[in-house]
Amino acid sequence: MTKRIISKFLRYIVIIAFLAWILIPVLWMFTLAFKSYPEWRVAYFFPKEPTIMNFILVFEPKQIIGMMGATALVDPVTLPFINSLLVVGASTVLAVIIGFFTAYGASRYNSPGPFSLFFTLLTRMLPPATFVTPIMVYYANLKLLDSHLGLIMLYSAVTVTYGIWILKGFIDQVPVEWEQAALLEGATHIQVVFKVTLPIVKSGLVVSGLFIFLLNWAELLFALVLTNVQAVTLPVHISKYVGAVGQLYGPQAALGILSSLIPVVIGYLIQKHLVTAFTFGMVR
Amino acid sequence: MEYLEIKNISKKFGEKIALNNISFEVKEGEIFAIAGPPGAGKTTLLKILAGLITPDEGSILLEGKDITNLPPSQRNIGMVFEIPPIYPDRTGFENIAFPLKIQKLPKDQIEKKVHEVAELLGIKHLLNRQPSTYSGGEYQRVALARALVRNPKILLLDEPLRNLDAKIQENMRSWLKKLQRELKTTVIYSTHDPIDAMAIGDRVSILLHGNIRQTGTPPEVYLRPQSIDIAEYVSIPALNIFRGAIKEIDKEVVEIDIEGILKIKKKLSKTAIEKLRKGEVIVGIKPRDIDLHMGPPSENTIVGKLVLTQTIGSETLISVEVNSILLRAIVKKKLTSTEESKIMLTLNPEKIYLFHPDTGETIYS
Amino acid sequence: MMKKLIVENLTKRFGDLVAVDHVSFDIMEGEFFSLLGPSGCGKTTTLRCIAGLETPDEGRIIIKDRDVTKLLPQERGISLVFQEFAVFPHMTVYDNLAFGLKVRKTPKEEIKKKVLEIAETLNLKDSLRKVAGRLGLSEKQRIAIGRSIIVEPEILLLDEPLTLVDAKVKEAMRRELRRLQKELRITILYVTHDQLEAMMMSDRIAVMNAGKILQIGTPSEIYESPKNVFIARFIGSPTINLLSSKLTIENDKFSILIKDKEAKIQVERKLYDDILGKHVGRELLIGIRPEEVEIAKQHMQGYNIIGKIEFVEVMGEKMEIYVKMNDEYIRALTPLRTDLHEGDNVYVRIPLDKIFLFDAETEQRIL
Repeated sequence: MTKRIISKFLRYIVIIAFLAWILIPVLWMFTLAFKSYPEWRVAYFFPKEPTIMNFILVFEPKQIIGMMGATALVDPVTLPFINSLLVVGASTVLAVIIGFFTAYGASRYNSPGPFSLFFTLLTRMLPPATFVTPIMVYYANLKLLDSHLGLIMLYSAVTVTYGIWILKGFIDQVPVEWEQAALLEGATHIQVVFKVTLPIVKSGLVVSGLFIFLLNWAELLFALVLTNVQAVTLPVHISKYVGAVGQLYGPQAALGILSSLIPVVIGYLIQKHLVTAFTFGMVR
Repeated sequence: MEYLEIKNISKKFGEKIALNNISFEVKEGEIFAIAGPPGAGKTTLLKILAGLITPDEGSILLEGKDITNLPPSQRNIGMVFEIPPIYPDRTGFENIAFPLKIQKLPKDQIEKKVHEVAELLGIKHLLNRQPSTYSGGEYQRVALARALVRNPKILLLDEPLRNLDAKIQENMRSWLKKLQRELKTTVIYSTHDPIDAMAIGDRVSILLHGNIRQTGTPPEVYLRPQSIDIAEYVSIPALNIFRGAIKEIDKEVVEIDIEGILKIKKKLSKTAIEKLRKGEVIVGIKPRDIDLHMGPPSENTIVGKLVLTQTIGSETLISVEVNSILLRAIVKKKLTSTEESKIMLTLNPEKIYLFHPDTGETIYS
Repeated sequence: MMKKLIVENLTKRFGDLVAVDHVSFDIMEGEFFSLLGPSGCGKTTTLRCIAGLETPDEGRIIIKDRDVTKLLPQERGISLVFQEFAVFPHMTVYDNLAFGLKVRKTPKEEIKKKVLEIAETLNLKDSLRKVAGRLGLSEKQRIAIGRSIIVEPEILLLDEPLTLVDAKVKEAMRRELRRLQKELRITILYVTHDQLEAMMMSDRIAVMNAGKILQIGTPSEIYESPKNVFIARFIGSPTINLLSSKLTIENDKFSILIKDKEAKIQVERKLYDDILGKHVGRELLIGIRPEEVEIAKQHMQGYNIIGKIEFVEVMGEKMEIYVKMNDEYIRALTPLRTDLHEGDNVYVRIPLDKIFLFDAETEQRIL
């Protein structure tokens, strides 16, 4: 009996340690956002004098000059925020659409050979840093630097891989007989795809969309290299708080919280689909 | 000209022959059952009829019209698959209405037709429910409603009762047959279970390894199988198979020694006797044709040790060991002997099958 | 004989649903015991409670005099075989059989000895070096059973192991499993929805519905004297006929009038007063097994019910005939006959000594 209690105890210790490992950095960011300037570098969790100044500074950066050791002006968050929504939203939709049709083909007509689905992972096998420079040169010639279109194209191309792999899993679960029944009933193949398969894997579209959205929402490297003024995204903007302008940890943490609100809100809105997706294939 | 004619259909997948020169005819308004073990080619055959698979050779004629190259959408053939085509993301109504919506029928007509077929199949209560709440039998009924709603010329049912509880299978089968008699739809029904095929089919085809081996009414196929593999396939519980030695042949009677267990005399025609010249024969006895022997032992009595008894309702399936050979029999009366005790069996020589040792062909008198 | 397993008042709830409702039974050593019932009747949950995969809300489970209710699955001395046989396809038959002993750190020589022993009885000796994944279903079943019994469990639990097998193979496997169980004297708790399977293999059967055990008995006891309508309907194939009727008294005789059929069954009042007396005026259900129903083309003595053949189902050497009478059916199972066709008018006889009587309201059997 005591043996069992000990093993139970050990199990809890492991779980708590693991949770702490994941959650402490997040918690740190959270508390930092409410700390005032003198407390930023101090290694304790809870602010002595909680303040919302950091949040105000994010929107009214003019006040930063002279405060908190800032040496230059940071742009307001508005433009990067809109850019991010636009670029990430558009590239996610594009990646899911292209991903769905590719996955459909791969699931239904996959023939082994040099064009196997494995090679769609190619773009993910190279470290992004190795091909960001060639792309920059390309984009410079195509006049795509610092443009929304340029980022959308790149983001959707890189993340479509995930869309394909996730959606193929869903489409594989749809018995081919379900489609054949519709064919027999007079539907064309295009109708089958749109009226049978697509609605059934709807939750898969949503889940792969969320996953791709999260990846692109946090993407820094490409945006950092390929944008400058017009198409700056939120992660690039966040990174600017530490560097040439000074060491603005507080406002950076505040912006981190604000930026994570969007995925949280989206996740909440699509909760129903997430549940369906996790139980997909069990309903049959 | 029959309603549906299948002529010399063959299909290969790579090197593997799935169907080999299949020909048969289906009459209007009958239930035609295709029975064969898993992997015999039943589903391939039905999908060829539906137009979902293109045959390598052969043709299909429906009402005299060649439909071999017609796409599935233009054949007006309904099919219920082993995995019923019921989409989990819509209600029963939407599922049944699907084919009508594809045909762009007006809304009120769709409504009317769906309700009609639901009424007929007794599934009105399922129309507004999500498929995830259905039981196995309900799934199949909705699938059937969906296939029937456009009034197909032929209804193909591919193992529709598989994956259902045993009792529900039995009830669904008679329900299906009754429904078919009302609607008079021509049905082709495939199943791996020979008993299932004979019960539902007006005629039955036995499909083994991609070949149609025999077609006939259920009693024809069951009582007069043309070869040993058909006899083995249709007999549940399993056929008793023995080597037999021809002891004596005169003009019309042969004496056969069955592995030293029993000697039987059988009257045969001249042509049949000709086939036994080799001196060997394979003997098949259905468990149902062996019964308990009452009274003193006689010529056709087998004495053995009862090793296993298995209840089948009012009857009992027994396994009896005779000279280290195992014999299966169905006892119709109440069995009083216990396992490990001695038991006497008898059989009617008229009912045993003789198979040619080389070709496996059944030798009938 | 010793009791191997005792289940007392076992109850398991999932939210509002009572999946297992005060179930009690015991299994003797060397017995083949089946839990039989339709999908969702609670039989699998009962088995999972015994295996320790579910925690019961109430009740006790005793395996060989030891209360195991609170023990972990591996401490209970049981083995479990699921629908999908637990055979590792990439391992050889030998390694599959040895698996349970290896994880228990049994010495090598002992493992070898035991594996050879069990392979001998299971007729697997020639396949020991073969990779299990390539073998047929019957062999896989034997491997799965071998694996489960090599660790010498007190009791072997089988959860519908034959469901996915096709009809032909199933019949042979039922015989094989029963033979093995007897030879090795294994105690088995078997869960199935297939009444024929339960009857063919079991020493005793417990029929379950809606979380409750309705009747426990040998296969023939349950077949010949079902306690209520549900059991009568569930056991036996083809399904029993149930005809609505009413019990009255006429000329000092009990008279059971079959509804709408102008047919009646009469018995002497004196003989049946204790049984039928208290049911006079009540609605009854007459149960008659299809194999007892007799059919004639001409009217004969005792063939009082007139009907029309709706259709027939040929089951090998027998045929099931569906006779329609007004809006009810009566099914008869007869040897194959060529003189009966769909649409024929026939006369039906129900032999008096073969009927069951149920109270239509309580559905309990009264005769």
